Amino acid sequence: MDNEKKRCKKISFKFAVGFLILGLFVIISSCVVGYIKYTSVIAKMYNDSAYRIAHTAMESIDGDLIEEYTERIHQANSKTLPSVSRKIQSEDAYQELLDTLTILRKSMKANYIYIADQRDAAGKVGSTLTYLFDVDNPEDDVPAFVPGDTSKMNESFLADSNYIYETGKRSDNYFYSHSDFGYNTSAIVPIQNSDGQVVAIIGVELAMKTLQNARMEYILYTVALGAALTAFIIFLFLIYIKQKVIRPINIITEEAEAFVNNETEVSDRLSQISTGDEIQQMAGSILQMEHDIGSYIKELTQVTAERERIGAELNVATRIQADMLPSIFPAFPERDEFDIYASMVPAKEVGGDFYDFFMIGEDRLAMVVADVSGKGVPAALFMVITKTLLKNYAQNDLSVKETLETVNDKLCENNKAEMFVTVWLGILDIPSGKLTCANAGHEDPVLYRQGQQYELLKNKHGFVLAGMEHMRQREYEIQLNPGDKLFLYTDGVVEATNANEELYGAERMVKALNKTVDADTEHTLAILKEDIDQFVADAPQFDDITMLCLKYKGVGKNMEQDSETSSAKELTLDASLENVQAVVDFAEEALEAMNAPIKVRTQINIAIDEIFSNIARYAYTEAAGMATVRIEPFADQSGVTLTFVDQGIPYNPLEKEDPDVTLSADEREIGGLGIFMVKKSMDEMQYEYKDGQNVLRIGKRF
Amino acid sequence: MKIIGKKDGAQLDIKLEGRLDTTTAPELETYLGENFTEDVSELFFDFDSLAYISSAGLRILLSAQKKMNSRSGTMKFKNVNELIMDIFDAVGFVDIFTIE
Repeated sequence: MDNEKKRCKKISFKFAVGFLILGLFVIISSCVVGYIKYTSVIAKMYNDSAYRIAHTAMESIDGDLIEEYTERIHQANSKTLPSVSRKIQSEDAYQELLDTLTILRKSMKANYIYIADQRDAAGKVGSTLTYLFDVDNPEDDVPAFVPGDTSKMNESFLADSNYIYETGKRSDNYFYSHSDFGYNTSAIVPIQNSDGQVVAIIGVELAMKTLQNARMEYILYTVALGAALTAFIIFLFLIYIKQKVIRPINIITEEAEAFVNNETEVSDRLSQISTGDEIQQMAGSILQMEHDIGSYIKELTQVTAERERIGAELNVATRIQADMLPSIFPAFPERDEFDIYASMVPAKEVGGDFYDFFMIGEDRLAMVVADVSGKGVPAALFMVITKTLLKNYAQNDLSVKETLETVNDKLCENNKAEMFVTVWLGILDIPSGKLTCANAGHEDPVLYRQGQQYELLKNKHGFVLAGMEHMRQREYEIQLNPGDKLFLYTDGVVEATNANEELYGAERMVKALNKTVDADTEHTLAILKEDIDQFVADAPQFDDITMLCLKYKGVGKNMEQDSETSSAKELTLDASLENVQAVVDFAEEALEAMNAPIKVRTQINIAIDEIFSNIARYAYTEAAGMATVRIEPFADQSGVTLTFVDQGIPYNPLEKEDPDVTLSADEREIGGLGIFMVKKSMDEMQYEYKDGQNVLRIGKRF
Repeated sequence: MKIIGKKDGAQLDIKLEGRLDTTTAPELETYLGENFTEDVSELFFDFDSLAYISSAGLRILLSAQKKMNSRSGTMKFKNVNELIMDIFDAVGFVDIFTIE
């Protein structure tokens, strides 16, 4: 506030100084102009009265007499001059004129009146005055000239007096002089003889006594009045400025400060300013500005809050997306037939790339690497759909080709955003190493053969998914042998760009991969990522970078096929699907011997099919194992008991939840029905895990 | 198991003889993969000579039904024996399948 006051004081001060200077200027100029004009008017007045005196004197002067006097004086030499002078002075005519002039001078208050000739004895006009008459103010205490006395002509009058002699006319100039006593003015008038010739001049000098005082008074009044007026105007103006300028400006300043301090609260003080000038306009503009800023800030606050909310949600989305991708490695610690590792580095918060891998049953591993067109949230949403569909269909035992085709059709159904996705899908049959795969517009995989080099695996591509309905996909097979590796990736790898706009490219990628032949899957990806990072350096990452690496190690050798049928009632054999029929035949034979009804035989066949195939599929994950089936009749021959024994992983099929049999076809899971069917058709079912063995016993009455 | 199929335009007739179990189910899966193409909108199974079905068979049938649903086609079973009917009943497939 102090600052504002200072500033406002400054404004008043500036205005006051300005007015002061203006006032001074006006006073000085009016003084100067007044002084000059006043002087000239007064001086002219005095001068005119000097001339009037001269002309009055002229009435009593006889030009021829004066001529006579001058001739007599000029003719006299320096010795005779005093006597000639005295002679002239004694003459009556001279005395008469001298008296007249004396009275005139006295009555007119002239300094002096004189008659003199400027000519010398030769008649030439010079600078010396030869006096004839001289009437002085006795107070001056200066002796008057007598006829014949001379004095130097006042030099400033010389040109004018010459002019007078030549023309016989008075000069247009006014004669002024300054003496110790003050300002004087003179009139010089020619005296002519009867022939009109100038024979002498009469001079009258008047003191301009009133001039000086009047002038001083004038200046005093002017200064005093000017100063008073200036002060008054400054005073009035300062009040005006304070009311109409400083106060509104202070209000505006305070309001602006209050606006800032009170967090954009707008008061109505500004609208009260009604000076009707630019300041009111300014107040109006500032008020408008305050309102605008207020609403902008409100809007901005909302937008910021919204953005923060979206940001927070995006973070959640990022986490959800990351959580969707299998990210716990090793992913299948119990499987030593293969190693798999994958990574995804999104370019934005959420990306369109994804990888996936999952088991289909016990023997098959599905792998997906895909890239949804576009980035950000839309791509991420599409990615979720695609990933889910792919997994669902692949796990529903559809082939690779069928999976892609079905997913394509599903994605096309409601693809208004016209997004698409490139997918590489492969399903590895773990025991055989047969990899069935299809490429829907995706990058070619890179294959490493044990002891060789990584090479791009070029195969024909199908059309991208979600691009067009009912597109056919091509399936192809790769036989993986132990030690082989497969590297899958998205275009974020090959299209990684450095600051010089160069692409990383497949060539660099394969070269980098070949440095990793001895590394495990995790390190393969790490080394490759480092190579990409080195190449890209400081350039920003444009696309998601997704990589997946599979190393196939193969299955340990099968146990020797040893299907020795120890007895008619017990069968021990390799727990493989090929042996299901053997078990069924074995049971059929035993049941026939027991005279079991056809329906029971069939039901037991189904039970064996379900249970033994389950054991074959799931009991032994690492290496093949054996299973034993014992069949024996109830003691009273009213039924039969079948016992299945294996040394596989502990698994109680009775704990498995029953499927919901009321769902529609589309909602039903494919599979999971086997044990349920057995439960329904058998009369008895028991499970125990004993001595490292799964023992499952089923009973059926005839 | 024996698969006797007849394809006539959009109609595919399949007659199964024997057992549809773990061992034989892949045969049917392969057969359907080849013949139950997208142009097929009517699929008829004749189970007159089919002894029984295990869950491996059921999953193929369910898969076929889903596929058919997605293309709004018709899939029907005829001559289903008592045992298979019991199985269909037990697993709730009687509500899903059209059985004549």
